[in-house]
Amino acid sequence: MSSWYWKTLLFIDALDLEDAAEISADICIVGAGAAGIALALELMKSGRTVALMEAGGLESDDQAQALYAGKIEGLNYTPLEAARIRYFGGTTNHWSGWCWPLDPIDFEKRDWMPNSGWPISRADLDPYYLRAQPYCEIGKDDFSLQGWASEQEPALNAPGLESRLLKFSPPTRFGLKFRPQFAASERVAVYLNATLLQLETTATGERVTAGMFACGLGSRRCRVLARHFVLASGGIENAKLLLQSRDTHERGLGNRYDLVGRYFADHPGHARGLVLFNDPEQNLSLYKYHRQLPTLKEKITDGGSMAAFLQTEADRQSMLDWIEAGADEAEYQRVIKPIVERSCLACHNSAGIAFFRNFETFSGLREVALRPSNMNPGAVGYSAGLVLSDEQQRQEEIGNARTMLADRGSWSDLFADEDFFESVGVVLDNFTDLSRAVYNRALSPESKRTIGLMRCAIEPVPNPESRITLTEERDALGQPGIALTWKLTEQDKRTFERTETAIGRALGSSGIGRLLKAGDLNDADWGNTLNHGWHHMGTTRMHASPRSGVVDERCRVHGVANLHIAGSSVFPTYGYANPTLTIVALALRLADDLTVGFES
Amino acid sequence: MITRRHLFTLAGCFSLYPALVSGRETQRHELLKYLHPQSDRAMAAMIRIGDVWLQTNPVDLTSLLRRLERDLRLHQQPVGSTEEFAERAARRISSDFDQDDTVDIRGWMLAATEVRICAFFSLCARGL
Repeated sequence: MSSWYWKTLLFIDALDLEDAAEISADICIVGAGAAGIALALELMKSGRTVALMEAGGLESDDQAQALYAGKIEGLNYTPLEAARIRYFGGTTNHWSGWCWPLDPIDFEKRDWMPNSGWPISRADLDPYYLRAQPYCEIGKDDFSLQGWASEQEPALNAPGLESRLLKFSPPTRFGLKFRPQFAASERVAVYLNATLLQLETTATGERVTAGMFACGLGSRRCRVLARHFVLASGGIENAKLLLQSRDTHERGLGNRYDLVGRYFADHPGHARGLVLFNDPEQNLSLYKYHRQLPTLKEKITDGGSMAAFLQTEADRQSMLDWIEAGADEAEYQRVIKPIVERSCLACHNSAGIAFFRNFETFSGLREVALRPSNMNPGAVGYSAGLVLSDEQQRQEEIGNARTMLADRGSWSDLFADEDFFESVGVVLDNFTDLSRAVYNRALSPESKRTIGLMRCAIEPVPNPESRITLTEERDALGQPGIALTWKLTEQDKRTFERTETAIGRALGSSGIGRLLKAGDLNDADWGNTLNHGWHHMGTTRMHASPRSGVVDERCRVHGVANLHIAGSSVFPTYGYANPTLTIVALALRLADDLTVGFES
Repeated sequence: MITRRHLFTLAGCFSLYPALVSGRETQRHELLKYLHPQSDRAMAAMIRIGDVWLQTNPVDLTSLLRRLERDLRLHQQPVGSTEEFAERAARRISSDFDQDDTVDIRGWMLAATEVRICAFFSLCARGL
């Protein structure tokens, strides 16, 4: 054991290490995002020593972030340096906080979906889902609707349609939330600005012996020696790190069957239509977003999300003064709008630009500025989405999909809200004079017919042609670049269309309402009309056989006894659920395995 | 979508359908009066839906009435009241959705039966 491991170093900047320093630990975790942090915290309880290696620092840094850049060669995608975050806490630093478990059917092999199925079941993960919830600050229960749906907030009752509970994490910024626990730990040392370059193995490649890390962006290097290594660097980087570890395997570690980097998936989404409810007083409360949203003041102060984007202290203070004075429009035009425009221009990534776009109108910023803080302090945020029943999915032979049903108030409200018009986009293209006239009673001032906007996100088919590959380019550390080729299939298109049709049928059959479709995805370029969730999945997929998966059912890389992978890169099939809760659940399961492994 | 009030009206309309089919001008005027209790805008909307459907599904009034009569089983089980008629039509519309017998009217997913009812209003309006 390295002598200086045992010093009370807490957070160690790799830049402070001597060149060629060696670090020893029982377990080396590469990446301090949701998976790496949850895993390290669990292992902290086991008494094992852990080196938690983070490629970034404690705060955002443009140079470090730029190392996440890559080529986009398939469908349009967010620039890779904006779609994930490289500092302590990882991508939870821009996580929106949506938590739901995968459905049992997501784990099943489905005949109509090639390459589907996990080697474990939902029941195997259930105990870990329970344990994962406190990490995400979402209470602790089994996600059944019981106790959430009620007479005041009823679930829609339509044949073939089911409602699923969604819980909102505050969202937990893992890096901020759990930093004190690492600072107090004697067993876990966090190394910052330490980028894994290569995993070194025994001559046969059956064990990893060390990890070679760059210290910052210079030429200084350090090595970590450990009994177990865990890659927890996200769905893109996990694959990249294996592909570039070529000491003993020409195609990369764990890549004997050319699977590493393949099956890349995200959740494609779309505003898929509007529902007009028969009942003018249709209660959609369950489907609204019940969550505590931060005020603008909170976004600006205490390291909130907006603080990082505002360029100067003077700008921050001007914004705070404006809020305190009551968010007046004249002042907005005179003082605040230039700040917003300046900040938008200065943002180095699309995430920042998207953030400020919300504030380019007075009404957009005012709404956030005057929103009351913590309307229900301490409560767990929740909503519900609609999914087709398992039977319905089997009949239609489609992937799983969830549809959020945002209540847009009355028809007249809808048409009065210009911002909403813009956001609905493709849906509004279908609002012809006819369709307005058909339901024109709803347009009359005395009418308050309820409108719901459907937003659908689907489970894509596992597709080996959708993948991450290395490129010939080199980054600032001399490492290969990456290219993302995201692809969808005709089957994915069918999932969108049939899900929408099935929902329309169910709503009509039950007399709940009628659906206005968003339009067919007939354009040859349909894939580029969709959005995505920055959910990087599948690139080191789990399968019992090494011919079909990179890791086994215990998340261990096939053929490499002491190398494990944590994160959504192991998902062999994806469901519709945002992946963070499952990522944490799998990390806790891996922590148990590693603990038991040491004991045995 | 077809409201209960429309169906009540339609029930009365069906009670007069032999006269409609016969096409006598005075009786059609009677029918128009009978249909008119609905708001003008709602009526106009239904007629517009019917018009759209008829553009691609041209049909004469007699054939359409016979189709509705068959779908709603008016011969086999005559309706005794407007409420009974309304219930039967509502069941049929629900069944259309279950059987995937739906029609896309400029994006709206509607039951075939409710669209045919709209077309019925449309043809009546044209003929009067």
